[in-house]
Amino acid sequence: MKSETDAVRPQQTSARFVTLRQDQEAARLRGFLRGDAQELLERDAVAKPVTTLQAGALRAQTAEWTFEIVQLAELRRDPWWRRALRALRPETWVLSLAPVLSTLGWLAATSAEPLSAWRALAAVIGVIALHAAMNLFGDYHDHMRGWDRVPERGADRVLARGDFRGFEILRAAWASAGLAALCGALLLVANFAHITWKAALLLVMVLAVVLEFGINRWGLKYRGLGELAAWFFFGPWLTGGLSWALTGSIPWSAWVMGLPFGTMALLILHLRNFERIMIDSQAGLGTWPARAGFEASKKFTWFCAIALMASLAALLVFADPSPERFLPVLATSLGLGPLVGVVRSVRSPSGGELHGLSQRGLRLAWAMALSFWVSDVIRLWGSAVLARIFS
Amino acid sequence: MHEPKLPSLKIYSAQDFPAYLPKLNQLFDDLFRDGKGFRSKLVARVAARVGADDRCIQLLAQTIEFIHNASLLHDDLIDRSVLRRGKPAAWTKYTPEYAVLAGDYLLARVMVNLSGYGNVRLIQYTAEMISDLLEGEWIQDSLVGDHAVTAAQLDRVHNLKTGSLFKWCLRSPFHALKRDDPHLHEVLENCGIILGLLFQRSDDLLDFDVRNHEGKAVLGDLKSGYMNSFTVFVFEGLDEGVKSRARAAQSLGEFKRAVGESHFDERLAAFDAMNLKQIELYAHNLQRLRSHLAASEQMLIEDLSRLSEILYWRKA
Repeated sequence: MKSETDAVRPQQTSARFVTLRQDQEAARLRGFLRGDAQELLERDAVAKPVTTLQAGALRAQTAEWTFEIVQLAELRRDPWWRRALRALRPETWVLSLAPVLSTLGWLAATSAEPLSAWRALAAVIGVIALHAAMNLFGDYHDHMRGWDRVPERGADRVLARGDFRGFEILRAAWASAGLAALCGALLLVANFAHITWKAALLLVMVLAVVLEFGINRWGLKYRGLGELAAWFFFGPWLTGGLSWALTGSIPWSAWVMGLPFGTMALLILHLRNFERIMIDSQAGLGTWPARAGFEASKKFTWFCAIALMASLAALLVFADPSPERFLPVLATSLGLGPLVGVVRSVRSPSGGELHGLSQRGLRLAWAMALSFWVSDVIRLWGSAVLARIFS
Repeated sequence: MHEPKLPSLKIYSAQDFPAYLPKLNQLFDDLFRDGKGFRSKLVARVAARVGADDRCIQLLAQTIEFIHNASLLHDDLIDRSVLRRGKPAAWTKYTPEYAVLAGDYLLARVMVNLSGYGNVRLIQYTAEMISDLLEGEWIQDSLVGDHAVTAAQLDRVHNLKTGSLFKWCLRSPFHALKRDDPHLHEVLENCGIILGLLFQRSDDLLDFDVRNHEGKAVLGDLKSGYMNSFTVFVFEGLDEGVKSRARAAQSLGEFKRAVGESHFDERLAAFDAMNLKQIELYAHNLQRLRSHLAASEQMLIEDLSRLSEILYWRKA
């Protein structure tokens, strides 16, 4: 029996392939990766790196790269704004927005002095710009190193898909980093009297970690330190730093405020690395799941979940004992249950259940963030603090 | 086309195995009798084109067939497939224990034969290929009943399970001749990966009676709970309810009605277009291979260029 769909071979596609060797044509290869090679610009084409199933190529830094040369007109790209959203990955901004807005709400409710609106705005814009810059630098450097040739890696693969040229992403990353630096500089100047050598050292260390996270110069992100850096940056550093920027001091409760947000970032990064446990193991990367193994990674998810609830409890008891804060505890515990259930159901490192785990984690982060913000609004509405913010 | 001079290939001979194990010989006799020997012909042709002697060609051809057949013995038992090449699978005709032992015996014999040849790099590469094959089988088994499997995951499994044999067929003759240039092997590796993908994806289409000239059973993968590459491709963008109905289909007509006839045809055309790009990439890699070959070896390119037609479009 023959099917009616017994084809009829499709038309030849117009794809063309070019292979370049790093040891022979380094400059041309760089031009292809950055997307600014004259031969590409003249033809109005982009060079998309061909995907590989050889995960080992990530570690080996293979000397040969094959590109598919595609005319922009053939690429049928999405509208500019949709591609930009994909590159900026705003869904991940919750990791920065949640601690910043929640700390703002907390400071507004508890600080003796009224908060400065412009400082708050500068802090929010600066942190989001820094986060966006980190995402963009990450995409660019993953592309330049060839990491996005492996389908499961390279974030949203905006460069591998041909959504943008490499140099465009790099420019956007620097612009975003510049905006973050401007906001940071304004806050530093405003708080000049409160700068101590300890605060300066901490700031430099954190910026170095953020830069390494984005550029991945030494690969620390993939040696198990990414998780620690995420916990510190998205947690205590953001809440403590914001407290310093707005009030000139960092009470111990500001550090405690950062614990649940840092732990949430830790959980999400762990879930993302857990999703890639097989490919990272094949590539010889030293992420925690790749090192600890499948079963230990499942247990570590449990640990993160318990730590998250414990940190929320610590916040409630030691830092911000207000009845409205039961809302985040309730929302997070309700969301954590199903997430942990999915992780429990994963049968193997190649199981389809792993797919989308970090997206589930991000949804939980949004739920926790929203519940924090709603609790802040309830609290602020019920008091005269709202008026003080805008005074 | 000028054909290479090939020795007559002797894959299995009862004299090569202990006479005091008659059941083992009987099992091997059944196993090797009906195979097409596609892989042994491929490796023999590559080896002959690049100047390997008859002993080397014979060794490589026998090695790949032993490994392939060992994997079939084990696969049939793991998958509980009762038929192999239209006849009772070895584990049903003999016993599961004998099927496992016979497969292990073939793999051990491969190592004995290769070590006798004395090329350590070839032995190492062959052992790596066998471990890839086993990893692929292991992972594939864990994907049965997994409805959330992705196309990328399947490609990875196929690269380990199917691609590793094709890669070996292309690379091993060069290793046997101590031509170990990493750039040459990278090109061959890429060609092998693509051949493995094309072969497996075409095989997955047979499940939907597409270019099914061999009359292979339809919807076998789906009914056994395994989402093959074309199933995953057809399911992309469909509602969970539609997918669930399609998974429960007992005939191809039912499956097409569940997903929509036009959707099925559109996805088939897109699947072919996707693989056509792979065929173009394969042709590109063959052109790169040309620069690694001597003038007298260039006919290998013509031989290999026909493979994509044979493997994907199933043209003899």
